Amino acid sequence: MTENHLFLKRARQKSGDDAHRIKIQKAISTYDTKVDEMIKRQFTDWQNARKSAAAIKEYALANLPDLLLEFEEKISKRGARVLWAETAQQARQFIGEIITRCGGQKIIKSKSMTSEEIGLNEFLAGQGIENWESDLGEFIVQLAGEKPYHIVTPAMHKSRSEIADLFAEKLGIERTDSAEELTMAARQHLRQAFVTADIGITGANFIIADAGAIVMMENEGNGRLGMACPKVHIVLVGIEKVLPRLGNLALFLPLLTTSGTGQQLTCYNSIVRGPELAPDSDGPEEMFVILLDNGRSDIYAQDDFRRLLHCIRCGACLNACPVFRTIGGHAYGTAYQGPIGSVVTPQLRGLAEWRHLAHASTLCGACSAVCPVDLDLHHLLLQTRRVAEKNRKSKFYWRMAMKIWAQCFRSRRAVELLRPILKLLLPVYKSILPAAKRRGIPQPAKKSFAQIMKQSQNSIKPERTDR
Amino acid sequence: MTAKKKIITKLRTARAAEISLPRVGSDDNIFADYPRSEAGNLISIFKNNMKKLSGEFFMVNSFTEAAETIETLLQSAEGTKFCADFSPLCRKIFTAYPRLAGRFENASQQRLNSVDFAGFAVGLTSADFLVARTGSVLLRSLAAGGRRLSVLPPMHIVIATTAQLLPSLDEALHSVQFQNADWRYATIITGPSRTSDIEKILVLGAHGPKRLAVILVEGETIK
Repeated sequence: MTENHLFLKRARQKSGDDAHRIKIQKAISTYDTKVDEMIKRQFTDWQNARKSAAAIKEYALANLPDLLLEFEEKISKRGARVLWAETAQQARQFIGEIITRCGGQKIIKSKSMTSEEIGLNEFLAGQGIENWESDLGEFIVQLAGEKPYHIVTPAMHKSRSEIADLFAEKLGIERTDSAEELTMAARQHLRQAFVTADIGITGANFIIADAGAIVMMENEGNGRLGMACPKVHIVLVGIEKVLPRLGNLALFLPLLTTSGTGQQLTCYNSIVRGPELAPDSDGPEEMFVILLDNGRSDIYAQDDFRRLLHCIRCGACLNACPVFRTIGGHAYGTAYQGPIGSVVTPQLRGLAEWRHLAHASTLCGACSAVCPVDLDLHHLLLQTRRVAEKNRKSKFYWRMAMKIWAQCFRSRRAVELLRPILKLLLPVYKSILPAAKRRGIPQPAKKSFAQIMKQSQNSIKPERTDR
Repeated sequence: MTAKKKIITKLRTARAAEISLPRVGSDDNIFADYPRSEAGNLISIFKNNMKKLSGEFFMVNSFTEAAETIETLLQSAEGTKFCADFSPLCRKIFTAYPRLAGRFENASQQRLNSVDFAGFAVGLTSADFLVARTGSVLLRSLAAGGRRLSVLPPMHIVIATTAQLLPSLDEALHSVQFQNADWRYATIITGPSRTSDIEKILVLGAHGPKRLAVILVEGETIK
């Protein structure tokens, strides 16, 4: 089955699943309330803040190669090693080599969507290396043998009682429905892993050029533990995550957090500029930063898509998207879901196989309205459709049909002429269109809007008000 | 050609028109909740924001009082082993109240491993800055006994003086300490560790400290 078929199959199944819909609705409405309150409480002018953030990202991208080199030079001086990976395969290979070299047996991982992008968990499992996801949501989906459902809230689709069953089965604890007790069970279970792990792998939310730093935002403390306890710290980060100055964080940290979770700041925002070195008394002995390209430079080379690299992965567009809310995160079959995933995935993994995602949108623009870096995602979705269509050799009958359609809809008169014909053909669609069979076709109105307008204009003369 | 060269060449070939670094307003323009009132109020703003996040806040007038507050907090700790960073501020407090010093191990001892740190009930550290607008504590590892002391023990006690209290994050990130000094690791701590990954229900103490207490010393200086 092609990705398109798989997508349709999963989407069809989830959109009819009421229990799923209720869970997602509940989670997202909690999120919506918090975000609205935080925007009002915190920002003088939210639109202006978004525009400022977009301007900084635009600058960062215009100077991307220089800023990346500046980052590399500065963090290398403090003893970290920077590795450039052109592809996912190269990044996995780097990680494999580091593990072999330091003789690592056990890995503790923080939440990183970039690691999902390169299929790191599958790779490590294939190498027979013990690897624990330490973010609670990620830990839950790891135990369940699933993929993250949402880039910020990986276990959004799991109810408390499902997690209770999962923990009772996999961790051997007594079944409890209390969110607190479940969290403490995960804490206890992973504590051991933290203090004994050889390698900590984390992602990064930002690369800071002038400070030569990576920044990691989190609430739980698992990221901090992962870069404090193990002897080796590996950071996997996409090359687009650059900000020019340390001071830019004063805007970007609250901006990303507000859009991501509706908090003012996440509990921990760590800024790391290298491994342990005197006068520090602890920290990893070695630090590696893997700068991942994996298709980003191709996005960069396209003027129409470059701004896609502004994205700071807050997840706001997923929560706002009516399609995401209906079909859920797993339907996409990608590391990045929702509107951003539907634009990024065809770019990263090939238009031919993934173009269908650009059609998983109502083009309502809700994603663009909430984006904290002011990305016009719905235009990018349209642009993806356009490019995909250009690159594809469509069937002759389809091209002809589209040509006729375009011709007809350019002329008001042609539309009027076609209308009765289309009405007559109604029984034909009903018998051949699969969507019509599933959902039915609404009966068209007796009179068209244009006809009603014409009539009312004839009968009702607007009153003249003489002054 | 190496991967680095290939990536950089690709980016340079596609490079866009030059733009200059945009001028973005400072925190007092951007944030509606920027503390505009006189400095004395920063303390109450910080306190309120910390309390909203379930942090504990204590205002004291001398090093001796700070020590007494620490002693009270130790009584409610989950264990009997404690560790401190022995920073200049910490030493001042211990000097003012010597019987407290003996109860703390020094975090910079090389023999301590992660298991030891996880065994401490309390980590006592100083901070670089407190930020009123967000109720945050900023610390760098070299000034706060390393990376583990402030995250592994279930309770984190922070000591600071009023001179370290700033209105917003902007001022802290642009300070000499953050811009010029050669540090490796810094973290901005905003409340005790938390998660809402299960049905969006807030739980404190996910992996980091379950309790965060800030003791602010007024009228004393570190020097």
